[in-house]
Amino acid sequence: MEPKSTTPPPPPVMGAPIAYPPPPGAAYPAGPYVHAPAAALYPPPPLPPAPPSSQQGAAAAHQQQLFWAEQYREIEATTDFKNHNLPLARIKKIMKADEDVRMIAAEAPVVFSRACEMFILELTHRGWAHAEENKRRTLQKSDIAAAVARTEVFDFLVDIVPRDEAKDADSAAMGAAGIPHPAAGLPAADPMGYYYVQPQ
Amino acid sequence: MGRKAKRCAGKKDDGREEKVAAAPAAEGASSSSSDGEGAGTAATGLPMANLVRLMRQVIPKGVKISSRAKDLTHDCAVEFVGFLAGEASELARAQHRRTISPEDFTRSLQALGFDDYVRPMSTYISRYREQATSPAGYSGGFARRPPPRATAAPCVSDEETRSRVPPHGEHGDGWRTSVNTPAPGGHGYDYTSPDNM
Repeated sequence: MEPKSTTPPPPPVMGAPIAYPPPPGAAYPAGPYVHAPAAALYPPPPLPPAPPSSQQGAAAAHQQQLFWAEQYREIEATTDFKNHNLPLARIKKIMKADEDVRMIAAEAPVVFSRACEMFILELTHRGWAHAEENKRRTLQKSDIAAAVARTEVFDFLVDIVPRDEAKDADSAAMGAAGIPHPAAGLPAADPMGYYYVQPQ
Repeated sequence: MGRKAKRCAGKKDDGREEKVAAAPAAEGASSSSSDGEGAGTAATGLPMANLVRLMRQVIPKGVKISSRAKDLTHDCAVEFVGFLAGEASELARAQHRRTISPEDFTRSLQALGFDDYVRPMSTYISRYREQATSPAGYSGGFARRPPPRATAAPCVSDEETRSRVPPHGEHGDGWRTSVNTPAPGGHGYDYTSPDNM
């Protein structure tokens, strides 16, 4: 009898918090509350996707998607596995250059060669995008450096890219991002940066 | 921006571009030798002509590539192969294997963040193995022949076994006689018995 009598009290206590949610819910449908969340949402979105950078970013992403769709189609269409754009002997030598690499399966250099081809194509493709942004018809070393700087997965190449080229690429990338502080400093330091400021 | 030419057209185009690229490649070689890195590059590098041919596949016609851009791309490609080989080697060692397999390679691609490469390369490996195992595609160079399966010995009937086995003297004769002529067989048996006694 006593346990049963003690059971009723907990429900009322639980009921109290249940009662609280309804008022805020009712308040949210109200006009002013509806606008408040919208206002809160507005501040963050505008900053990251600046109009020019967002358009460029979207275009770049789209180009990358097309690039990889093309690559996959080519892989699917491959019927001749004997002729390679890159000699397997050279690939194997590069793999062997690492002392840790001892034994390599016969099939491995074939796939490494193909992956290396894709890497060269991707790097060149991204580099060309940078050259186009600068209205140039010649692919420069700085374009390749910019592609490396902009692509996170290429961080392992930081030591390969000269510092000067990397700095130039970084400033260019930051200029494209539309960061005001670097833009302010760029005109004096780098004419390319100044060129970037104009489109904005 | 993408590649428009088909495979065949690509080959022809590659041929022409290769001729055109010959001079730039030579220039690259001369500059490399002048820098003093020619020997090193030649020993552990990739052919510049092949590299330039690949680069031209993703840029519009008429676009020029500076020598320094070619050299930097080459260095990045060599670093890429070494980087992946090192990672693949570690993955193989972690599983107590000494030989780097294509699976180690695809796993290293994923581990290092090259997500876009994983699916194409997995497909490539599967396709490569399919053509390697098929008789038509077998060239003896890179492909490995599957080990021949042991075939079961043909089964021989009892009658054949008996016919093959040479007769053993009187017992054999008796056996044969009994098979050939049932009635005389019985008699033969009786005859054999007295002979033994």
